[in-house]
Amino acid sequence: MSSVVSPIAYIGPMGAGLGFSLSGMFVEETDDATHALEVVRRWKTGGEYKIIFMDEALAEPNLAAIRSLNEDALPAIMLLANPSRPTHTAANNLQQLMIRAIGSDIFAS
Amino acid sequence: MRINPTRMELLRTKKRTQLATKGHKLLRDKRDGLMREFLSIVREAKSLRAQVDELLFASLKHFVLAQASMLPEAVAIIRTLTPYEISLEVSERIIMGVKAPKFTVSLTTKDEQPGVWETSRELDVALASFQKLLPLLLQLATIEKTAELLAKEIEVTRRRVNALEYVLLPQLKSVIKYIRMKLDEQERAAIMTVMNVKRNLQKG
Repeated sequence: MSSVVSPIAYIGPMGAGLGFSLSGMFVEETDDATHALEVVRRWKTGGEYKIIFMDEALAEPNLAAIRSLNEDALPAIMLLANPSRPTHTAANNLQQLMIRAIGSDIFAS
Repeated sequence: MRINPTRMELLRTKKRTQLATKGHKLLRDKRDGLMREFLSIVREAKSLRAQVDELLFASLKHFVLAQASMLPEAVAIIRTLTPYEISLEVSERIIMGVKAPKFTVSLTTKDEQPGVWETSRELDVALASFQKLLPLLLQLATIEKTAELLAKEIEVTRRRVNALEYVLLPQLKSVIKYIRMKLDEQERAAIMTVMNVKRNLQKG
């Protein structure tokens, strides 16, 4: 966990946050999805971060809760692909959004 | 529903119908406009997401290589460093009444730079690739957040359009029909009464 005061935070699996912390972001590393959700909830309540990057593998078990936390304009919770365990949740999220808005996935074909 | 079949009520209901029709048209136009915006944003998000994923995979690979090629002590020291300070500007963009945030980031180099001797060349490569990735990540965050907010607004607008189209307008039209029928009936009854009175007067 880094001690940077930054408007952007990253939460991801252990060992994946070096690039983010060296770029000046606040980094929290965990392998526990429930803990990750608690942290994101705390960050949202605290309101100190405008953008929260979250690893998709950590978000997947609690996707509905993450979606509800992302309903307000700020903070923007953005899912990032996990190179070692790609679940494509981030890409599917966009597809779900499209189905919700226009009723069908125009990129499906 | 209890309705007063009077001319006043008929006029009031006609006015409400006109207003609801106007509102329905406006909301339908808003929904179509939002959908157009949403589709162009989603297309942009999809291509940007692919680009970001590719760059993210590459730069995380560089970081893994960098960490593997350095001493664990050096990695631990580097983890405590903050060579850059991020300042984020959040402005507001209004798309058809939807307030969406727009993020602009600027990086300031600080004195806490990783030492040349303790770090490997891969770390420089990894940092350089991450610097390229950061503006794209911010752009994607802006676009995806906008898409999210637009999707929510489209859903709400579509519900309103449907409520007007399938509930309120048919209900108002049936009320108008009912009042007209009642008024016509009253008029016919009045004529019949007058005719009866006239007939009785002629007889008498």
